[in-house]
Amino acid sequence: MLSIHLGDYPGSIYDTETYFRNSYLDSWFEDPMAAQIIKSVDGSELIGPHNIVSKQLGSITPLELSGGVKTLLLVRNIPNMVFNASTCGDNCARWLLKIGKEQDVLVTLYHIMKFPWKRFEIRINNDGRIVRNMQEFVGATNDFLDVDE
Amino acid sequence: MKGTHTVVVERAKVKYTLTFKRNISFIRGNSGTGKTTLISMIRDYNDRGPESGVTLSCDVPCETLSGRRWERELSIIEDSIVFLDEGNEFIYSKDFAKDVNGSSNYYVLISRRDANELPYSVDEILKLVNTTSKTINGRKSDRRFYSVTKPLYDHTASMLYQDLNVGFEVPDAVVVEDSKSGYQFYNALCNRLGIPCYTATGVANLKRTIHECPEQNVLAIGDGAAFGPYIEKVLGQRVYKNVRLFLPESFEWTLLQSGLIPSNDIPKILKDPSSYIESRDYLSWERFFTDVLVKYSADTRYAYKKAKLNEQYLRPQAMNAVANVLPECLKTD
Repeated sequence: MLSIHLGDYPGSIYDTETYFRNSYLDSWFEDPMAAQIIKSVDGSELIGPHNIVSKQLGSITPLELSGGVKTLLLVRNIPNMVFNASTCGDNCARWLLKIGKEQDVLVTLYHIMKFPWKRFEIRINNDGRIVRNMQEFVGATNDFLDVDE
Repeated sequence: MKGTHTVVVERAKVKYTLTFKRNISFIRGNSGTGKTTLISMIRDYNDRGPESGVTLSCDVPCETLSGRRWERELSIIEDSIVFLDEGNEFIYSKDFAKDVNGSSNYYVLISRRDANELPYSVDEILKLVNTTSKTINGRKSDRRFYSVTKPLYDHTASMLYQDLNVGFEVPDAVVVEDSKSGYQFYNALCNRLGIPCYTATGVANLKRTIHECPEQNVLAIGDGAAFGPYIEKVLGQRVYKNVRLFLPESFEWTLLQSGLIPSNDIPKILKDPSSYIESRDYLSWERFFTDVLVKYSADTRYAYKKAKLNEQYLRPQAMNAVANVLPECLKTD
């Protein structure tokens, strides 16, 4: 299940770009979901772990993938760690939900991400509630984002 | 620093044309639109200059800032455009906000997270838009990827933001972020319209006030010049009720627009504020417009004070003049 902690979480990785650069493995790109994410978010074709074809940039390495794809790959491949999902655009939201259908993962979020599905299940780590639609999710962000205001 | 600055960054396959006209801008949007590539190109140019293969042109220096030694690095940067990407958590610190205040630099932050310590404009939340054309003048293009900055949030001519399919025309209630002059004016206007007007007593409470008021169709009024950190949270309330969002630069800007204060300078200032507003003096444009209004109204019957609205502004002739620059839904017959 996808769990989201709204705001700071102890030990979470905020700078996912740097963490990805120093931790990704070739084996991550053997996962069929990796190719689907890269195609869906960046519009690029995964040829192999050392070769991705981007419409804009030509032949690139994983280091030139978008920040959102890098974070999704971290969440998918290191599920015991907590990564900052505010590095992901709304076009990554469905992939977070899809990863959450297959694995238990926890991410942090600092903004209102727009989840595209009408119904979903996300556990809000701050208080353990389950939100099932955008209205409930916005309610959770009202409770936990910028509460010091 | 003041004025509008255009940055052109290019390499073999990519060209970005970015325009910034205030001291704080954000670049947001979907993943895969080129934000990461942009920052790495600027960093390459800064590290290696033209030998990097990147060309960068702008009328002021462009710098990138990151890492633990950011305060030391920033202390020697002046009159420059400073780019920061989302991995830098210090962007959200009080220390960074303190350094931005009074700085001669413009700052471009590539991040989706709201920076509540910084009063940035809703119009300076930008996205990168791909403008690549497959053909140019009927001939195949050079297959380069072109990208420009555009505001993330659309608005109508009367400054109603993201106003498509909002579900109503005339509001049941108005919620104003201001608690002083602005609220006094809109409260009087709402009395004429026969609808309630609530003050949120500060922009940070606007979301909650919208949420808690009993009416379903709400017009929220805020100062666009500093509304950047709040727009997503206020728009988020649309899952509960119908919300229209009127975001002029500030209430004082609206009074200046109304033409009540006779001056040849005011139209020139309003046409191109960026050329007049020095970032060192004004962290946000709303304070500049207050200063302009106070200065130019001083010797007129509309002498302006923010704390308490001059009653001249509540006379029918003045209210009608101001209503002329407001959205249709706030106009009375």
